[in-house]
Amino acid sequence: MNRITVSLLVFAALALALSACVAPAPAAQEEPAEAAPMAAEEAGEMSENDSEAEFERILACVEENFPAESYFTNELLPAASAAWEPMECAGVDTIKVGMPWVLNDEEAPWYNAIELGYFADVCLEVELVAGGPGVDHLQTLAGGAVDIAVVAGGSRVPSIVSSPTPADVVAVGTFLKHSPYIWLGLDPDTPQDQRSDKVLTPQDFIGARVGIQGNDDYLFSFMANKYGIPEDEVELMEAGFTPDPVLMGAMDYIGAWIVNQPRLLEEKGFMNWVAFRFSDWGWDGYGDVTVVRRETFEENPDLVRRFLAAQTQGLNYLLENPDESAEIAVVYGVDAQLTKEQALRRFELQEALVVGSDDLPVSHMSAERWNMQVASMVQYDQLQLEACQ
Amino acid sequence: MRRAELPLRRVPSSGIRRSASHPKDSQLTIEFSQVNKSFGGIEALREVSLTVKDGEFITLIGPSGCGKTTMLRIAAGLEEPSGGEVRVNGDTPKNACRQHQVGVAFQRPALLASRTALRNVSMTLEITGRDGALSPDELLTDFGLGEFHHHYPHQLSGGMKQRVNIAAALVHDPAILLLDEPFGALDELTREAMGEWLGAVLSRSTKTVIFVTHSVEEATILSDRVVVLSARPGRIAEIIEVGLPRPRSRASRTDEDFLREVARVRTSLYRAVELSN
Amino acid sequence: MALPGKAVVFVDLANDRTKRMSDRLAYLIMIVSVPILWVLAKLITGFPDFLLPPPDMVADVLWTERELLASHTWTTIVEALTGYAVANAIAIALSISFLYLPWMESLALPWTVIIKNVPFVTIASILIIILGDTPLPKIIIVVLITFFPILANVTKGLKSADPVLLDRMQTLDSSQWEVFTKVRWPSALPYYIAAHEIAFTGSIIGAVVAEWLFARKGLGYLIVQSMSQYRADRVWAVTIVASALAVGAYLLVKAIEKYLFRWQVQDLT
Repeated sequence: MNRITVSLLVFAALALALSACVAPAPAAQEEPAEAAPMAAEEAGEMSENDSEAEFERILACVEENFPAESYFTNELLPAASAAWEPMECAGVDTIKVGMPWVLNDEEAPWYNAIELGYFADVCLEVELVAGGPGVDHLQTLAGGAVDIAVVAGGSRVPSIVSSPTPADVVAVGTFLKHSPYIWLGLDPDTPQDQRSDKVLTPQDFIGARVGIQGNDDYLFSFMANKYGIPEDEVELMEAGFTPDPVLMGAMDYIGAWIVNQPRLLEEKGFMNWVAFRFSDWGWDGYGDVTVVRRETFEENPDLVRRFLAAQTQGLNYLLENPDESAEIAVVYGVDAQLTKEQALRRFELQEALVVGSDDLPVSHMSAERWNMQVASMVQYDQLQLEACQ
Repeated sequence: MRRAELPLRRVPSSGIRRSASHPKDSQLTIEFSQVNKSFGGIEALREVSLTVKDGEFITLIGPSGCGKTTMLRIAAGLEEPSGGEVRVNGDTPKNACRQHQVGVAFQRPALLASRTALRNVSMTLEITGRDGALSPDELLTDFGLGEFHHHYPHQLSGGMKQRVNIAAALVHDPAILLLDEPFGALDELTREAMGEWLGAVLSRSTKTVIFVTHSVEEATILSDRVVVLSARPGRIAEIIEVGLPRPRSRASRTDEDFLREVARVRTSLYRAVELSN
Repeated sequence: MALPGKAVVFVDLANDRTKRMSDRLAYLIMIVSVPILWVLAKLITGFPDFLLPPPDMVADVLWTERELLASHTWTTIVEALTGYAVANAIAIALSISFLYLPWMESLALPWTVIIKNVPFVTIASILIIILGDTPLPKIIIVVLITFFPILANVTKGLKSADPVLLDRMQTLDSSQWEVFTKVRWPSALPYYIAAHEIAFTGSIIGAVVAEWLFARKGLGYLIVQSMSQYRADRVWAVTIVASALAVGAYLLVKAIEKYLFRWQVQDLT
């Protein structure tokens, strides 16, 4: 009898503990819900002129206090007209290069440079160190674990340079001239086998479930600030790197790269994908930017120059021979099981980003673009620049 | 002699008071009939029959493994006999416990480290609900622990702890006291003093006692009858009546009659030991 | 007829007092040493500021960004405490059920071993994908990390009750409830407190790690965010806050232990 009573008590306690466990956690998210739309409206009404004037002020301040020339240079890039000539090697320099992502077809220019002997031609032996989730090669570069880093989000360079705990690095070339970052979803109004012409705006994400990766939430934070989207009205979720949750309906949108995940949807028969391109909405940094430590830049510019020459040669080969490059990429891209066709589709999607809309040769960056990106980041709280707040 | 007729010698400030709750109609308090007990394949007790009279002090003595502790535990309802039965006041030992007729003290004091001496004693009353049977306060003072009411067990000597332990077994004023080698862990002098003290306590408030010990002298000085057990299997070898009036003081330890009784018990014990081998 | 009374003191009080003093001194020495060792480490290794910022810089962040730090710290504390409370409820309920229903223990043992030993990052990743950025996955992770030491200790403690006392309780015909409250639980208490020493600090680390995986609030999130902004000074400030929380939790347990077991050092005079 006693035993039964005690057992019952035990189970009651267990049940209580479980229910406490399942019950919704402290509800503290309700208050701002009412205030937020008003704030959004106000932000909308606060004329665009105001924010533009503000932007101009910050831009001027950035040019004055944190000019792009302090962290980027094009001067080590090869001249556009230069013909390729192998060097006479007295010795070979072995360097480690941090890659922007896991080894897939993103790194095609560097695969080409290895496979076709461009690095060897300039007396370099290059080890590609894979990147990916949780690996920030800007930090391994600063710490000394790699000699050169190719950084997926170029905007990270001014971030680390201007940090109160800075690392002194220099961006010396870029692969993608525009940010490939998108929020990718499916257009329910377009049949699956047709392309969608829907244009997404920031307001489309209010009330939507969006999957993002690890520490990419600064991109959302930027957009939310810029367009007055209340942060808690977009349901952010942790996502992996495949668009599957979108297909399964677990998420409405997923953070992605325009050159990668859309082709995976197409391959599964979903032509009606739709992308919100951050580069169209004010976040337009360079992508896959080659970065070196300032000491390397100052003490061994020749090494950097040789590396960039071979890298650019690999890039040019990619633009001119996508077919052969795709064959090389599927061999070297060991972290992803990709077909040649998939690689080709990527190259097709990324060509515009590589070539860019400016008149500069490939890999070249402009101070104006850098400064504008930094000014946007300052204006919308993604970069702290004391002088310009 | 019936318990109710015993005059209670009141000691000033004594915590021992006679309680009216003892049954008065039964002459026989504890009766073992044909008790067998085995643990697994080991036979601990065989055919043990013993009648403990009201108010009597019985000591169980014998070589180790003779089952004396088992007998006591059966009387306390802590073990069930494998055969035969034990009646306490005509009832099962468990029921006797239920009526709070039994007080038990073991060699290792059953005290909670986190309770003071006083609270350890009053815990018995908290459980039995027999508030005011005896006053824990007065009882401890009576037991010579006046200054130590608020001491914790770890602050008390072995003898003091055992007195607290026995106080905790007595405080609800049970008719029967079962003591399993309560002084076994004490040094010789403390042990003698404690034996004498127990005799004095019982002379003030008569109880039916079953007492387990290894010490022949202790058995002789305290008991009405000494039950000598032999081992393997445990059975009663001999029952010796100690022909001396109780209580017996330390002085009687050197008395010739006493020494003769001690010798009788010892001889019997030796026989029992031989029987066991 | 008093026997010669001889009081044995469990803990030598004088000794204990000097010991306490040296304990406090040790913490003081630690607090003073940290910045000194920090500066030394920086001098010896030559680590740049983005790896190891100077202590005064971090102290400055602790002060100037105190409101930010406090709000994220609060989130972490709430998650850690909620998870820890749940872990305690489950672990104690299970321990009690093990005591009275031994088959439960046989049944639950393989599960507890599994739950303890499955790499919790796997579980955490799954939880975060299913439950998103809610406090729930963090609370569950805290529960998973902390409940086992409590379960193991309380189970052991409840079984450690002195058999002699249990016999005494039985001869007094006490109820199971009385046996539990008067004997079993007091016996388990020291074990339970010992479990807190490990598990309570673990609850804070657990919450931080869970936030670090995915969150938009809390110290773990602040680490991720600060790292992605290359704010080593803030990363270290968060580290200090988290360590201070853990040390505070430990000292709190110690203080509670000292209070609960104050009778062990009670003065005789």
